[in-house]
Amino acid sequence: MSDIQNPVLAEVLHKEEIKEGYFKLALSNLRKYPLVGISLLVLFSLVFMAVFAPWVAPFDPYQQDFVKRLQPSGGGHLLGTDAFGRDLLSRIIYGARISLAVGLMATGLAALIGTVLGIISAYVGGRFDGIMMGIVDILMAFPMLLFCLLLVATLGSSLQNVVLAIGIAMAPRFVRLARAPTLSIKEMEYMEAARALGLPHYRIVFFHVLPNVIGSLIVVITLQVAAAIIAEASISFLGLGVAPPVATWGNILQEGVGQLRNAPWISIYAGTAIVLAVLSINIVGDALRDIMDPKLKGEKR
Amino acid sequence: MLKYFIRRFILLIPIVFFVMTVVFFVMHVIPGDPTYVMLGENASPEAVQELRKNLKLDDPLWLQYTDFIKGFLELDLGKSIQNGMPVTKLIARVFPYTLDLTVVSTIFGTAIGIPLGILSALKRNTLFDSMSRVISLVGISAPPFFLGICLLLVMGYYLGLFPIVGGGDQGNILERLHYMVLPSLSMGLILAAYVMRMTRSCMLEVIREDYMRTARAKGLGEAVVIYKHGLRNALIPIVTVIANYMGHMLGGAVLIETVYSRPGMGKLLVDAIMARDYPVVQATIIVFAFMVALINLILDLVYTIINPRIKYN
Repeated sequence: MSDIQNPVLAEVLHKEEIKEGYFKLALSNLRKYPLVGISLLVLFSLVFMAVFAPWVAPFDPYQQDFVKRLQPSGGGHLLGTDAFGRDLLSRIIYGARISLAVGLMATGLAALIGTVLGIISAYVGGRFDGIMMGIVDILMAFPMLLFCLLLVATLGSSLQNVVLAIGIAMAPRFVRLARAPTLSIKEMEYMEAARALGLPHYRIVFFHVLPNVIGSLIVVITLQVAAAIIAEASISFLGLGVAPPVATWGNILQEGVGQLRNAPWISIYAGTAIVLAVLSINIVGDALRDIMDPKLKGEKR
Repeated sequence: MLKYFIRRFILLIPIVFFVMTVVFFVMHVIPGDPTYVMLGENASPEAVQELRKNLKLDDPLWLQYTDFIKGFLELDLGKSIQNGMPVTKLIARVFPYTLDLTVVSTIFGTAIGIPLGILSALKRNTLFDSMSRVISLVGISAPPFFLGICLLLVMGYYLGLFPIVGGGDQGNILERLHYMVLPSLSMGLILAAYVMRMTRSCMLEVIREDYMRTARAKGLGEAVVIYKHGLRNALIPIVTVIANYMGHMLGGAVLIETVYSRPGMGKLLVDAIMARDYPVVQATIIVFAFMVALINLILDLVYTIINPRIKYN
């Protein structure tokens, strides 16, 4: 048995070695860069926390207790209580649900809309493509937060609208992303042959364009989820997002600002949660980008 | 090439026009009646009707639109629905604060980010490098308002070094700067993180190039080699990152101004959105769009200064 590290080579020489090769490669990479491993762990914990919130959270996030309001940690409340006596830890755990869900859903929406539009635009080409690109450029230049605020003001402050607003604001990025591979595939000669043979458009898109888009799509989606989480936090922080008593990290921070003198820990813990989540996503995203980069480029920077 | 830039500058107008139209229709197609916001939920129907007539809200949409365009061309951006003040005056009052914030944040970010990035690239894989990379990762992961709150607590409240509320008297420049430090740091440090990452990455690429070796072989001092030959070639993507972030900073200004209760266009915009104050929202967004377009134009100009081989035609 040869210890072939490179899974591609393994595939060429001996097909069964693939699975071993990838797994070994992944593990050895993780050992070399422990930060990535830690981040993945943190991410899984956060997702676990969010999914199993009712079982993980020590208290009911809505339960008020005016006797114990604004306490720093103590008396069963690991992170203290907020202005209404609600347990901060539980609120942050439940807040993870919304913040993470919004991040994922908004990014998913943006990726869906953007990729479809991008592929169609590049495929159709001509003036349609030109106009589309002009619109995308203008939209991308506009500060994303302001665009989100405008949309949220238009549609109202609910969970769905926040997801919609962030999704629409992020979509132009994906349009750009999907366009490049589509354009390059369109020009390839085998396309003419395929069309001449009567190959329908959708098959071309599905089997040829999409596989090329997916690689960079994964990396960008990861990094954009981080941006979406920050966007949701910002919108909630301004009071224009999901309203209390429903907990999101952003509106916990906002409530905390009102109590900054007496109880700074409210904002600090909520903010730290955001930073932790976004940081781990960024680290994993960076690692993914380094992997997806043409491997022949050399050492990881 | 001058003709190119003049053409680009003139192109700003249709762009702003496009943004204006989009904003106008987004704001007017929405549900949500500004009159109820102004007069309260229990206003009498007569009062509401009167107000609607005064504000011309019942006119057909195209008429409101043409009025809007006409007004804009005369530099009359309308009157605020909330307090009847001319919008131009409202914006002119707060614009200097936002401009200050943006400029100083950019200066902080660049002044901190580029040197750190260069050092990080030169000392690659040392402890300094690893630490600065982690710190910059934290920097890009922190929401600007959280950094603002932390700075406010530590430097403003506990250490009492800087004021935490307000913008300071515009007349006295020292006071202006004093009030500007914390807000600018909140955004500038995040910019510094982005700049540091990009500078490091670009410098690493540039250092490998042959002309660096040649420059050293010629006997040039190390500093000259790095700055004049290395950095100058690496600068283009770095400057792009800075310009992109300046656009984001206009959005971040909203958050920072809220945290520090600092007057500025961001706060103006958010308050106007909540109150459905159409004229103010429209005018503010148009000003933002214009600034973003201007920044991009200046960016292209800067490209030609950095790399004289770039010519537009």
